Parts: sequence; C-alpha cells; structure tokens
Amino acid sequence: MGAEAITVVETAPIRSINYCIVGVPDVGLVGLIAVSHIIHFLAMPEVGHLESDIFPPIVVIHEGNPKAPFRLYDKEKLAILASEVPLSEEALPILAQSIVDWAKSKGVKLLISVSGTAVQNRVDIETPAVYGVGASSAEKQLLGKVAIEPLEEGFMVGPHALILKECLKKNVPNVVLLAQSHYQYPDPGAAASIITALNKLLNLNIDVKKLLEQAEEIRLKTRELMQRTQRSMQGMQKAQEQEFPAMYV
Amino acid sequence: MSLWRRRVFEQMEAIEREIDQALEELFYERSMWDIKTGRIKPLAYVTEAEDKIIVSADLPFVLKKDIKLNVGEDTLEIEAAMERCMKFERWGTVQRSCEFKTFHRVIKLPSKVFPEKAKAKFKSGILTIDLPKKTKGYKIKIE
Repeated sequence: MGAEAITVVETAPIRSINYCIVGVPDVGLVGLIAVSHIIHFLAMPEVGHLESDIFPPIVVIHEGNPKAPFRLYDKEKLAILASEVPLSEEALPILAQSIVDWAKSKGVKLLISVSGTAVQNRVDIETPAVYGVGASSAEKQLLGKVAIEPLEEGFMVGPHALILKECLKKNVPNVVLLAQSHYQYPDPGAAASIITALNKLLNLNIDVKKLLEQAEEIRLKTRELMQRTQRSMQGMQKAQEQEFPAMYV
Repeated sequence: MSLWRRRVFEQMEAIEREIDQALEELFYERSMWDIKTGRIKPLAYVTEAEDKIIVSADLPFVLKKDIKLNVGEDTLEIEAAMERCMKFERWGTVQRSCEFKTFHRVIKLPSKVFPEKAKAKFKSGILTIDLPKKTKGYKIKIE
C-alpha cells in the first residue's frame, strides 16, 4: 500500500503555510484537547480533511453536518490537522508520510506535533512542564530560545514518532512538544501547558483560561474517546515510552 | 494446600479475570452510561503491585464528601454524585433526553484484599485506592 492511500483533501485551496500543528488522540488526549481549543479560540475555518480507505468507517455529525473525523483547519498561514478518532497502528506510517508530504508541498516552515508524556505523579503537579524534541539543530536552538526544555533521553511511540522520522528523512523542520500528563485520563491542564509553550514558540496569544475553566466538562465528555484511545495505544505499545532506554547503545 | 493445587487455583483465577475483562470490554463497546439510572461509568484502572492492588478513577464534578466506596474481598464499588447534573443536549438520540448525575462502577479485583486495610485519597479529581493483598508471595531463602 503506497503513501497515496491517504489523501489530504482541501475544500478551500491553501497556497502556502508557515506552521502546521498536528493533534491526535494520544496520551491524556493532550494533543487533541490543545488543538481543539486553538481552533475555537482563533475561530479557524475548516478547509479540508484527510480521506482514506484504511480509516475507520466513521462520519462525525456537528451542528447537523456530516464531517470526516480527521480534519484540516487554516487561518493566516497557521494550519491544524486534528483527528477526533484514535488511529489504528496500521494507518500510522502512511499517515505520517501523507502529512509530511502535504506540509512540505505547502512550504511549511515548522511542523509541530503536540502530545502528552505520562508521569505517574501527575496529581501532584499543578502546572505540567513541557518538553521538546527538535528534528535538527536549528529546531533545537529554536526550542532553547523560548526556554522549552529538551527531552534528552527516552522513547517516543506512535504517530508523532513516525512524523518525526519522516521529517528527518525529508528534511522538513519538526518539533514535538510533550506535556507532563495523565496516561489514561483526559488532561486539559496538560493541554493548557502545550498551548502556553506554543504561544512562546509561534508568538501566538491564545488564552487558556476558558480551557482550564472547562476542564472538568472536557474530562467528562471525552471519557469514551479516552477509553478507545487507550486500547489503540496498547496496540502500538505506547507504554514503552515509560521504559528506560538502553544507555550504552 | 499443596503448591501444585495452589498453582491450579491461581491459573483458574487468572482465566476468570481474563473472562471478566473480556466481558467488561464487551460492555464498553455498548456504552459507558445508563439512561435509566442516570449513571455514568467513570474511567478507572487497576494496577497490581507485589503487596497491593491500586485502583484509580477519574471523577470530574465530584467532591470528596460525595464519594462512597464499598470494598469487598474481591470487589470494589465506587459511587459518586456529581456536583451538577450533566445533560448532553445536542448529542446522539437517547442521550440528550437524560440527565446524568452519578458515577457508578463495580470493579472486580485481580486478587483478594483486606477490605478493612484499604486506604483512599482524592486529589485533583482523581480517586486512588490502595488495597493490601491477602496473599503475598513466598519468601525463598537463598542457599
């Protein structure tokens, strides 16, 4: 199966983008909660979706309108790719290729993956820290400039790991932002930390007050998605992120 | 009880747990809510340490005083009233007609515990219960 199996369909043509943020259901639903808040806060119009036979047979209904679950938003050269459904392990390599190819074709200056990194003592942490992984030295410097602490050692598993690999292969600038988070409970607090880091990194001004005020409602309403995502994470051996990497290889 | 018999029982219990989990997953495929009772199942997970079982549950909109826990030798029942009723006014077909007001879940524990020694804490909306196990591992003398 080739990379053409997933198509980025633009319903409104996009000439070029500066930044592209990717948020999918993952650890603590951090990425998805973060990008959902940004989309609403900036009132970003929906400009397309991802289409594929290998996606689950799902249509989402919003305000009476059927929509694809993996959608594309764009405003003032900031694009967001957001999935409302967990991704199957099989779709991930093709998905990563398709996202990176599409972003490169639009001349993206920085592709940013946002997610959570599970910490066991999350209940004791008031404001989760955010760690960054830069694909190249230029992105590492960029993270350093805005004082985002680098992830020095560890494993990354799942869609963001594959996007990072593709970016390295195709020379596309990429950073991954990971906020300390619950592993299997929706974590709007971690999503707020991600947005605060994005504000610094991309010079945005997105207020997280409303997100934090709605935290309990978000936790309640995303239980089933979290449950389903947890099963999908089991499939891709996401728990490996909790392990110590081999130190002498 | 001989070691062999104990192992057989342990294996049987492991099979029982797998069946319970499969049934629970089957139930989850249906729903995590019950419109008849207005109850929602909280997200909850069980982890097993050497000497205890740890159960955690996510309980948004809940105050500590409204949590009721009922611990048996091999089950834990969590019931918690929410501060305010939740109505999903625009979601689905039957769900929007119902007000959800309570979290409720019965969890089958993977091994027997001392109910009277259980300890619980509730912080930032996450409930954590430590349940000391009745059976502990054998200590083996190193020759």
